[in-house]
Amino acid sequence: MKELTTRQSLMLVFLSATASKFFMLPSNLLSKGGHDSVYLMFIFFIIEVLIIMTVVRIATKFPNKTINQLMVETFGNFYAGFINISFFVFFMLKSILNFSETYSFFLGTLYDEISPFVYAVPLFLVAYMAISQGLRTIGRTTELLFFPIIFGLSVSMIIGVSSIDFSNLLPVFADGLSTPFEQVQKNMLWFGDFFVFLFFFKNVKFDKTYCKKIFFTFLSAVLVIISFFLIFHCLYPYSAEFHRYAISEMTQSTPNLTNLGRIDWLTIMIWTIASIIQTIIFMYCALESFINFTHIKNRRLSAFITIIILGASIFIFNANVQEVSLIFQSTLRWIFVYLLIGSFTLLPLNVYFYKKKVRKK
Amino acid sequence: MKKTSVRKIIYLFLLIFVLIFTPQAFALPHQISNKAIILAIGIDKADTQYEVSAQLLVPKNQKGFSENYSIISAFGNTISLALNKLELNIGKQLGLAHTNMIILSASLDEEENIFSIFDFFIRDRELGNYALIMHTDKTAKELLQLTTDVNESSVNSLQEIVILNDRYIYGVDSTLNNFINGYFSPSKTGQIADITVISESEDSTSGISSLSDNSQSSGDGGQSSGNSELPISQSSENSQNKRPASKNSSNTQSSQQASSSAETDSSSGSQSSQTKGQFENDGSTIIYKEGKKVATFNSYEYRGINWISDTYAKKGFVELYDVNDEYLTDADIVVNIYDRKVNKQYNFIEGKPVMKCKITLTVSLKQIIQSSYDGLLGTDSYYNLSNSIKEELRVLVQREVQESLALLKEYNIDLVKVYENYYKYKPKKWKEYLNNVDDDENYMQDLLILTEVVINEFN
Repeated sequence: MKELTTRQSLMLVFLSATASKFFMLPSNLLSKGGHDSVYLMFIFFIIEVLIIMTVVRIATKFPNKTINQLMVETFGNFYAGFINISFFVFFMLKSILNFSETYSFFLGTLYDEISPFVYAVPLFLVAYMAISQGLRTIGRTTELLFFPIIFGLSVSMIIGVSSIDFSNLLPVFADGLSTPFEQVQKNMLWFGDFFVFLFFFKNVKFDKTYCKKIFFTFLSAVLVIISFFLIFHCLYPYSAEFHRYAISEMTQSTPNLTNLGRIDWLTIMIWTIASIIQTIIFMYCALESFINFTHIKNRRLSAFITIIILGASIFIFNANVQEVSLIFQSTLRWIFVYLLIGSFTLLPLNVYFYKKKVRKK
Repeated sequence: MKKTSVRKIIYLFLLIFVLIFTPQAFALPHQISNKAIILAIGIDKADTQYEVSAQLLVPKNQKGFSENYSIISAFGNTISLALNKLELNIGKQLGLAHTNMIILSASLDEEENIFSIFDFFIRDRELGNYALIMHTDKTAKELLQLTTDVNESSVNSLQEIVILNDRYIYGVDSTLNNFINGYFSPSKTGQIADITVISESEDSTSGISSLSDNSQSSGDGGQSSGNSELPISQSSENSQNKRPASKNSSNTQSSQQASSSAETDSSSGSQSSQTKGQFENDGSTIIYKEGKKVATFNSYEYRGINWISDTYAKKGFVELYDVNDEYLTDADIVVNIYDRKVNKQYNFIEGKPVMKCKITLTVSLKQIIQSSYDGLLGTDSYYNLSNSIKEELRVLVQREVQESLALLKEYNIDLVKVYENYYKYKPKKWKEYLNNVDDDENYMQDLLILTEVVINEFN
């Protein structure tokens, strides 16, 4: 029996691709790169969709193997361990960012003072329960909350649309590509959420129609992300720098609404759930990578160690979103390119060598 | 067995967590009780110090819903220091999440860069960027006091006047976000609605004590902003607008003006102070360039800009005077504007920018005022806009646009987003043009605006 239904896996992919992109990324990207940087984001999305399609093709051929089993059987433990460590670091970084962003967002919008410890402990407990139980728990929770989350996002975007000037999306690449490209590559660690899909191997029933379904799911996620960024830019064409939490700023664009009180908080809070789910998915992937390279069979113990590592990292950064953001923009961001190139070249090679091995046998 | 022990550990951990934090949570005061909810902020300047006044909402435990307002103020070398003093004086943290109005007084007109004031507000995580900002000819504290007095919903009365300002052809979008976007745009201009205060004070002695809760505390150095006051009356009216001297030669008059008045009476002990006041939104707009005040436009001057702007300013009344045709004799006509659309083309003629604007107005005939209606009743001219009225309106719009353009050139300010729009639609040619002019800051001087006005009647 598969851990995830097709529906759940699609919902998870959608949330993974979108959730963390609506907090600080729009401000980071648009304040210096302008709207041209949003158009350049397409490059990432095209690469991501190509990799997803490749992964689906491979997963369809090997329905009973995880990506790790495939790597171990083809290239051996050393290579697989190396890849797993990379994924562990990657997902840890993503979890730290998600945690810091959501914590900072809570602090900025709902609470004046909330200790990171008080915020972290319940979240870590929930995360521990979820990741140690496996994908099924995460999938079911996502299925339950998916539509309220989408409702929250839609309302936030619709409120913003009512007062924008679409001409702010012009001109296109009038000042060249260098600045927008620099901004996109500087913030590239915010992308690559699709890597979670690699951990769905064996856990989802990949049939012939799945390829089409995942394509349209990812496409809709991309459209939502691009629309969100463009609406945000149209609202704050010259002041994106000052609007650090895009999703909450989006809903403030109607004075009449804010006059009634901050009813937008309702939709924002719903979207925060998406961010928490995304953090849990990242932690799940980090846990899987951890188990794969440490070979610790006890899942609960591994989950506990993963959470402790995450907690310690957050403690080091003091859950300071600015600090985390700068680290994300540092040389560390190249881990994303490394994984991207790795996925692009090694996945097909993996299959090729695996098949060759099987044939020899 | 193993599963049970793990569960036990989790439950134990949860129990410890609950035992540690729950008693603490019960013992802690509510965050709201440490917070002072600020609805509006007024900023004045005296010598080198800023006086920051804040209108506080004071919730009160009663059977029904009740809220009271008070105004407090404090001085400081910077806005943040003044607000910090306010915090210390009232012993509560200032909460700006519900602040939806920032009032700047005329004493700030000489500021080198008004953005330095806004810098504090945009950094504040709680304050919404769509807080309304307005300028007043008197002190901000006075206007704030007046809004507190004017009705029970306090600052809302003033807010209501300005909140839809940007929908009218004589108004401006006067929000913090709009100002900041304008300030950082290539035109570097920002606009703020100007609210006029008409007030008078009468001191009298009275033994009657009021039950007012609008108590005001001294902010700093014993600055008292008045006695406790209780709203007695409130009025809101559309008063007639007086045309500015510079426009008296034109045959039009706008009727946009909103005002609210307050007459308050309060007493404390044996002495009472009665304050009468009125604030007016006559469509005046203060224009800032690079954060410095450069001009004040009245509603007619600003309307000339709005005719061709890309804003939501679509509605309003226009008055035409001394219109004559077959059925109308020296008639004064009021035309209601329902909608305004503008299509613009950004061209260059002989290397100079030429904006072609096609303005489409959807209007209806609202009123005809003339000495005799004989011969008019029963004709088309009584019910519909005659060609002569349409022509008068067309001429009026074209003239106002040109007059406002002359003002824009005079002050060298770009309120019609010339730079932005040329850059959006003709980026290469615009860059070439800027390279060819002597001073690229003076691009407005070469601008030509050609207008075509199409008038559709709304039935």
